[in-house]
Amino acid sequence: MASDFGPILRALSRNKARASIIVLEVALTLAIVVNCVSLIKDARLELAKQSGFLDEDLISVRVRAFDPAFNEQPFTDSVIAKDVEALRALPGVAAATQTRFRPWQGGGSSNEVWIAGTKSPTFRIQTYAADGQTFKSLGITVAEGRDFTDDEAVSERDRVRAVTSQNRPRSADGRATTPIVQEIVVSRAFAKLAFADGVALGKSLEDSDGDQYAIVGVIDRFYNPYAWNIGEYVMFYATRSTGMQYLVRAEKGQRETLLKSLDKALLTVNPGRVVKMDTIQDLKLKNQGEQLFVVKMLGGVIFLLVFVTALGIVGITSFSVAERTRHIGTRRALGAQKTDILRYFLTENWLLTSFGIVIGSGLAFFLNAALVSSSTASRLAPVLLLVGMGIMWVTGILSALAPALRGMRIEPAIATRNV
Amino acid sequence: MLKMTGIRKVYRTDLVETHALDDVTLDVKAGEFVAVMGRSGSGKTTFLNVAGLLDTFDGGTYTLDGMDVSRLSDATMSRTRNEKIGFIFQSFNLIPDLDVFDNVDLPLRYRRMTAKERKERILSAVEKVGLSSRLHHLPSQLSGGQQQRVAIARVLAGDPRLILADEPTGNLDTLMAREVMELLLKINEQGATIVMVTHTPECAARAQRAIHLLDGRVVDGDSHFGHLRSVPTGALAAAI
Ligand SMILES: Nc1ncnc2c1ncn2[C@@H]1O[C@H](COP(=O)(O)OP(=O)(O)OP(=O)(O)O)[C@@H](O)[C@H]1O
Ligand SMILES: [Mg+2]
Repeated sequence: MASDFGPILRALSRNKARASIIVLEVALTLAIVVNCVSLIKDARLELAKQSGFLDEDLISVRVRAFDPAFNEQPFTDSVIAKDVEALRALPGVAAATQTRFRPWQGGGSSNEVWIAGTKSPTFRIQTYAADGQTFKSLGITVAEGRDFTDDEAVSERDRVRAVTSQNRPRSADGRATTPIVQEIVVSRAFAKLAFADGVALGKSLEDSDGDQYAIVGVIDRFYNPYAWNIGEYVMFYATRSTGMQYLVRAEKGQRETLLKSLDKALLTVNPGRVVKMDTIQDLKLKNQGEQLFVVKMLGGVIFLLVFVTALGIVGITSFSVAERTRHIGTRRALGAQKTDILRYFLTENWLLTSFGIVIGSGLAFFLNAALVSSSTASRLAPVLLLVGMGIMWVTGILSALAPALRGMRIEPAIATRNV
Repeated sequence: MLKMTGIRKVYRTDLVETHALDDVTLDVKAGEFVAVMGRSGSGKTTFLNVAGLLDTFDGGTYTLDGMDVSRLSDATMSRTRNEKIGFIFQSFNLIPDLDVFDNVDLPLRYRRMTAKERKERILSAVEKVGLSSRLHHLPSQLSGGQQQRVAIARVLAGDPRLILADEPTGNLDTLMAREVMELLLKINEQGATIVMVTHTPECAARAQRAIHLLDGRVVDGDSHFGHLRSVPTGALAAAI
């Protein structure tokens, strides 16, 4: 039936407006739908991720002081020390520490580093403070190398403050005049990213200040959502962070009980404060709520778009059939079989849908490229596009079917009717 | 060629039953040029629809070119229309989105002819109606007379035994009407049987015979226009 394409194409070329509506509709729908599906796939992968820590036992505690006495840093430091002691003493607490890091907080702080003394590519990596209790509190052990000691964290603190200080003395090239070497623990994913053999222990990293980071430990798993796709890359350095923020790990099954007693214990240390507690699972839900919302919303967008496109094709084809009633009658009078009429409209629709699909495929890649460069979206899988093309073809044919069947039933006697 | 005996056609609507054809009996011989006359609503178009297998009928027998066509499937009726019958309509019925070439091509495509044969037939048919220079014009770019000539070319390309025309000159001015009539006469001379519905006595006069319909019945075989038969067909043919 390829011989029928000629006149159909020529007839279409004389009805450009109507033809291009279907082509555009199909193209846009295809481009948007496959990208939506791709984003949904991303979101589902994200939802399936694990932080690498004992999330279900963890409680985040943030304390805000209103007592002016806390304006004095030494006073605050002394309260923090007492807080940590009080938390650890509570029945049902397996471990507790002062840290600003919490799993699933989404974002945090990051830095750019490279392998010290080489011209290796730079790697963006999340950076958080940790002390001798941090990993215990998160419920993991350092898999390779060693954990930090409590003393290390305390003694490093002033040096790290100096590192992060704004008015650090620098030479003309912007590097600090007195570089610092810190010991860090990195995630396995980062070790694999940065070192060809995956062996990170004993190696050093460097940043633009000239400071160096000696890798003394590796943890197996880590994930905290972060822009630039660095969710799995982290370095912990030994220090005590400032601020009354604690991470508490409950003994199995004790989390709910602890949620009732924790704040009282802290207020007993000093009542001039407000205590806010969250389970890490709540934080995770809050963080992933966005992903869940994305999945639901994009699902809705897909459904609506395909539905509207289908309606559009039904409408336009119905209009064409109604408008061409007399021509169909004439074709029938000249000898067209019913199936010839059916085939005419389905072929016409197939041609338009195919044009739309070709254009839409190009658009889909453009749109995807824009998404990839501006967000954490992943590249469009060709399989997805193929499935999308299939769906658009089926949608096109199914939408044209009812009007085409109606056209098929037009009586040949219409041809002689004079209106 | 066309033999009807006691043909009935009834249109039923919720309110009325119209006996559009009521016991129509007639015989059109191969090679004849017959005019069908009658006032509006007398059943001329209905007769043509039945004769052209565009519509079914409710009683009687109809033999077309020796074939009983009383109980044919839709597919067989379509094929028979395509192979044996050519239609010319009052309002030309060209497909507006197709140029002259593609319009003339239509019946040939439905006959599943090869592209080469179709092309030969189209070019020769368009030449016969004198529109070779307009091959790629759209109907909207042609005058009414030219459009009707394209419709005639469409019939010629199919080379049918029987041509049915429903007021082919009804939408044309006198000059164009004459052109079309002369073409039809020429085609008839070359052997095609023509049955033409017409309102105008001048057109009917040029047929060999006129049939008069009144309320779905044939009232008069011939005699009504007997006086018009004095117009010599041979002389007319020579005038073309
Ligand atoms: N599809 C139909 N449904 C119902 N009644 C119809 C239908 N077609 C024709 N009729 C009726 O059948 C009768 C014959 O109609 P037909 O069209 O054959 O007349 P006609 O002689 O061709 O008239 P005109 O000269 O106006 O074209 C009319 O009374 C008409 O109203
Ligand atoms: Mg009529």
